[in-house]
Amino acid sequence: MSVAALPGLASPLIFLQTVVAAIPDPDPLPLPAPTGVFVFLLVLTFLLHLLAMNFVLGGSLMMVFAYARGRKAAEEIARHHRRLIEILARAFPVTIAFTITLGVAPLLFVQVLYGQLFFSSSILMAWPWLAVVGLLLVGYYAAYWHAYRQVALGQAAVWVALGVAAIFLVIAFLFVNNFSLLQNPEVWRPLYLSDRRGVHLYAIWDPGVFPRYLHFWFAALAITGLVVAAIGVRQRRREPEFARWAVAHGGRWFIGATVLQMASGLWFLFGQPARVRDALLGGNPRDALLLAVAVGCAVVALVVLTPPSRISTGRLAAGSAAIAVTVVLMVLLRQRVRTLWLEPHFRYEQLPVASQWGAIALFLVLFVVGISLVGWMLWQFFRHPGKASAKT
Amino acid sequence: MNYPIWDLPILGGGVLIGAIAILHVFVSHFAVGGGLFLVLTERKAYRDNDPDPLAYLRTHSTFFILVVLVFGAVSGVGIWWSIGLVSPAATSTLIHVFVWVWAMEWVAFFTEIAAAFVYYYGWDRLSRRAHLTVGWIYFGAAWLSLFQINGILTFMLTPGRWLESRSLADAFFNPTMWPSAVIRTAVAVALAGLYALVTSSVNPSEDLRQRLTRYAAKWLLLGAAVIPAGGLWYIASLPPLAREISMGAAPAVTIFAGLTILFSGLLVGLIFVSAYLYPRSFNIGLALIAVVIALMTTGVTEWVREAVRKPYIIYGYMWSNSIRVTDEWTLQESGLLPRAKWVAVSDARAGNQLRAGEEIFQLACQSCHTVHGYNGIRIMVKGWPRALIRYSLDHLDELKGFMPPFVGSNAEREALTDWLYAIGQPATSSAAQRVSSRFPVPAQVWAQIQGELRGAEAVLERGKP
Repeated sequence: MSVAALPGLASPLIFLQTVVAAIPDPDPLPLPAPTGVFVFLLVLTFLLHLLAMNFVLGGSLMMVFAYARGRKAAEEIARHHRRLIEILARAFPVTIAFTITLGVAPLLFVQVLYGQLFFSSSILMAWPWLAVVGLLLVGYYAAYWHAYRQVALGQAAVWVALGVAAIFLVIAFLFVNNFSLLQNPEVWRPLYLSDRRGVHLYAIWDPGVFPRYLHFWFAALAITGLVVAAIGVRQRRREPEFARWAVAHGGRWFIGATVLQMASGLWFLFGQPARVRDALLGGNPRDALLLAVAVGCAVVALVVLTPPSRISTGRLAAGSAAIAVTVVLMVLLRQRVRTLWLEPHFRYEQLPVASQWGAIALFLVLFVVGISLVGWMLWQFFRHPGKASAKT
Repeated sequence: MNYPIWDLPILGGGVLIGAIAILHVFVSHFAVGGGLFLVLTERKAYRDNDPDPLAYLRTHSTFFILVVLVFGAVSGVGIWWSIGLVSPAATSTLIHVFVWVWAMEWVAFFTEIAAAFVYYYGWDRLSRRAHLTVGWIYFGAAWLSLFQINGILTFMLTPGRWLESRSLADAFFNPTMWPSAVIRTAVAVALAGLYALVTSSVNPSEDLRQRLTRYAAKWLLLGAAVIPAGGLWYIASLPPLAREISMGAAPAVTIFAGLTILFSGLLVGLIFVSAYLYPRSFNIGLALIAVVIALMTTGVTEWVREAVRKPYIIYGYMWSNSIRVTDEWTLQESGLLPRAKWVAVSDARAGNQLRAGEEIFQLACQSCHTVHGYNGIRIMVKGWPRALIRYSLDHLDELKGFMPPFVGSNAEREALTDWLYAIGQPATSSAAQRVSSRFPVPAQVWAQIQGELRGAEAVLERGKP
């Protein structure tokens, strides 16, 4: 971005002074666990959030495409599209709930590790950031509405689905804005002093936000494609025609989105500051290896799942496993890139630590209990599928 | 100081947080009590071998899901969003002290959401026993979540021994934690009854409607019966200053505390007569009136709970304006502006007083005051002579117990005085009289005020044609 274009930056010297001055000091209270514990939990819970989120974002987009394509397609294909819409729509109330729930945890760990950065960037975009809450409320209710009143809505259902997709796209955009702004403290002070009402949308200043945003779009579509293919595999006995179509359809989405993902990834990579880019391209062998293996696994998945018309259960499993590795490595890489961006300004390793081991142990116990209870409930729920009226 | 300050004109950050928080409290307590209501009512129906309430419970559980899982969850996230934007320093403190409690609360939240879905989608899939167990898991997780957040909330008002020990156990098991947990549990039970009154009032079966109405009324009355006892215990555990503020020292707070009692009494009276004694005549209109009164009760109560915490945001640790108590003397020495990271002027000196004064207002006052809107400062200092403004700035915490002391250098006091004087002028003797009747002004200061007023009148006289 062109920093010189920002107001209040007369000379490089003043610029440097303002940069140093505008990063809030970390909280004087010590961190209640070693930083590594928080980083691990941040990465782990973000990964879980990402899986649910990908389905919500990608699914809502795919639903809109299904409406559009279903209109023009031959009756048989149109029926498949309608069935897909029904399946996706029914899943939303639960998947949105878990996207939120699983999103709370990484946000908590971000606030403990990067609080002084996160609060600052959020305040700069206070209104758009607060809008996330309102949008989420509207989008979530609209998703319920669409799921349960789809038939009654008739033609209007398309528009509700479109609204849901648009809302989730905007929310994702605002998140990408905030987390890009978070790692670029150099622009904060001039932005703030030019307007203190919390109306800054970082993307206006830094078009580098867009490839990152697109990277979320295509990831979401690719993962949703895999999920649709998996739904097809699961439904093979009950509705064979739809199942065959869904496997191929999901596969096509996966392949198309992954190819585009690679393009957006290149754009994203070459838009990074030289310091970060060089590290990823070999300057730091570990980072470069991470990137190479992640991309390699995506290529493996592409090869395994091509052509989509001939995806078998085994190939789907192999492709999904490869992509799972990609996703995990990419999440790790994302954490590394953030660290690289922040290196000149802030290192969480320097924060004071006074671990609350008792509380950590209690958390782990509670976590095991919680997971067991959820597991037991799911087992109760799925063990009699025959009895299901599946009425929703 | 440390963080940028979100300039939120007219409304002010407190109102924003309050609006979101009150709605969330009203729904989240239902999320807890409503869970208990579902599982106990379901069990009762099985025991009485009575299928009618079960059909009602299914509809009620749809309503429950739509209110609790969507609005309850999202508005809870909304509080978190808004406190981070309005009070980042205090939020950061809470995160650092309680991140593991929050992590545990997250486990409870996750379990609660999963249980709610299994319960809701499981009416036909699960055995009766398993369905009831899922209901209990839901309630247990929801109540645990209430209990954990309650510990964090009460810490802000009564951090207790944490101030010295810095131990998590002291922070969580603080002096008002238990009484507040009792009150909130009772409120949850009462709200479960209230929401059930809404859904049962539209039940098509006349007989079932009456039975359910009386049954739901019992929930509300039972919860309401426990609240006063919890309330007394809570008040007894408050710091003395907070008790004073709620009982006369700050008139607005006292009025609101009175309204809490009035609205609760009104609600209990209404439900006792209309729903418990005469369930036949109870209808959706009355139920909605009760909801409005209950929402108003929640609103004033939460407002009082926030107000009595003044002059602190975290009692004894951080003032309302996010300045740490331990930083007071350093800031007095160095001044606020040289330490502030987000201001356009780096110190107060001759020539920039008004600009500096406005920045100081943002740093030291804007967390509670807006300029023209809610708790607006312009109206408050309208007509004040300069000497009176300066005097009250120097004695803020003594003159008004619910305000923190002004910290900042002498030059900054002058600059802030100039700015306040500029937005409130011209000085009038009536304003001076009114203010000085409320707090004693030393003779020396009063002489200054008189001199200033005479000067101002002379200028006015000269200005006349």
